[in-house]
Amino acid sequence: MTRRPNLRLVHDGSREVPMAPCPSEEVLILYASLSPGEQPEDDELLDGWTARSLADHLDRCAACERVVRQSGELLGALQADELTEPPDEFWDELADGVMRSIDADSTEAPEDNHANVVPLPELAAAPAARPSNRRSGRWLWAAAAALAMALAVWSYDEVARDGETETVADGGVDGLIPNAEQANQLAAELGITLEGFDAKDVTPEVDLLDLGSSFSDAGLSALGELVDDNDMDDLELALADGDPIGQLLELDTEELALVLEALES
Amino acid sequence: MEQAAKLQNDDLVRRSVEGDREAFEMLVRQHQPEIYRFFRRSCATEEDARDQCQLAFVRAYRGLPGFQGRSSFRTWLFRIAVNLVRNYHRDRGRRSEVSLTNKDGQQEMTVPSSAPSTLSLMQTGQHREQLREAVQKLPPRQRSVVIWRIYHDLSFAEIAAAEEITTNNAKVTYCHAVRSLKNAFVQPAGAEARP
Repeated sequence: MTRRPNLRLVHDGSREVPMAPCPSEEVLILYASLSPGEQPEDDELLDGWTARSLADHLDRCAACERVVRQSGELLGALQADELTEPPDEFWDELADGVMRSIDADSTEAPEDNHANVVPLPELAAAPAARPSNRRSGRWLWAAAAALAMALAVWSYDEVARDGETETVADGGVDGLIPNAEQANQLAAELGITLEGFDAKDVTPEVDLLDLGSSFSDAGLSALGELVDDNDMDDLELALADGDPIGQLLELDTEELALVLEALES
Repeated sequence: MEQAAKLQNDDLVRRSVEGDREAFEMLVRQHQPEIYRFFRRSCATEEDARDQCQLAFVRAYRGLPGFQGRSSFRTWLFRIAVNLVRNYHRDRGRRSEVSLTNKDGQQEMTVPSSAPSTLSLMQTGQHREQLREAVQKLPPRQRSVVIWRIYHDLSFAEIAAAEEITTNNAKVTYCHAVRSLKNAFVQPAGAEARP
């Protein structure tokens, strides 16, 4: 968002004074989208601009006023696109469908309660996650392990790039994989090399969707498929709310290696 | 009145977390219009929207044991919906669609060959459909931010909570999305360039 200097002179009645630099287009778009009364005039829009200061600028700058007008027209066109409201019975059917799915889910997968944590020894002996049991607690554990591995790789890459040991400190998993040595150790446990993994797509925010792609792109398709799954939002939510999956990520390296071993068996 | 509704909602959430199925059904009925409309804007068909909406509530139910109330139940549902939509578009082969990002990483929109030259043309049904498709082709976060803002009238603070980003980030993301749409549907301002 760069501001372009505007050195034109404008009349203030008796003399000519320099006009303030024009705001970025983002500021103008934001201004166009404000609902009346939504934001006090002195609250910042962006880049230090407020509704009040921008209104003053627009009074004197036709080009910016045009951008605001066009943005407003676009927003008006978007808002004018109204959806057809479903009939009343639609909502009953939708709610009934939800409850039927929940009942069926409870019948088919009673172990899916997050409160049921699979003990590590059992998990270590369990088969790897497959589509048929992806919704089981075991699958979630395995997915968490994949996430942990992704963090290890990300940590490894960060270290390799910066030439220094750093701690993975993000999303409540601080200290999970403290350094590159442990990342390598985990990789060795899995019999894979981290050299082909480019962590550039793995953002510091640890976007789980990107993690799956990064694994796949690195040729680690098994892990990639595991992470790149429809149920990852479950994992993300669970992590955010600190359920047992989150607890898994606080396991020490040795325990984590057991999980990874189960994952790849 | 609003406070009473909130207390009632909180009570339903608490009972749902404790396993009260009827309480959860009441929550579903309370929130489904808003969640469905988000999916209706985000998905390609009404059927997909219905399926995804249903899935969102099923996942919410399954996630209830871990819900700690750090955000509101409504915001929590929004997050589930956002994740589902991202998965939905990814599964539909998002990568094979028209790229919206140029080589410099800047967001851009490919203008349909039959794109209107001015916004006024969008008053026709055909171009409204193009605009709807253009929104669906926005990058995931831009798309959901635009839908929250324009069709659900969420404040940027509320959008930030749903998307788990900062308020400033929500504003910037929204602006990028609107700019992409504007660049696609508004005639280039060559004759009236800004100074």
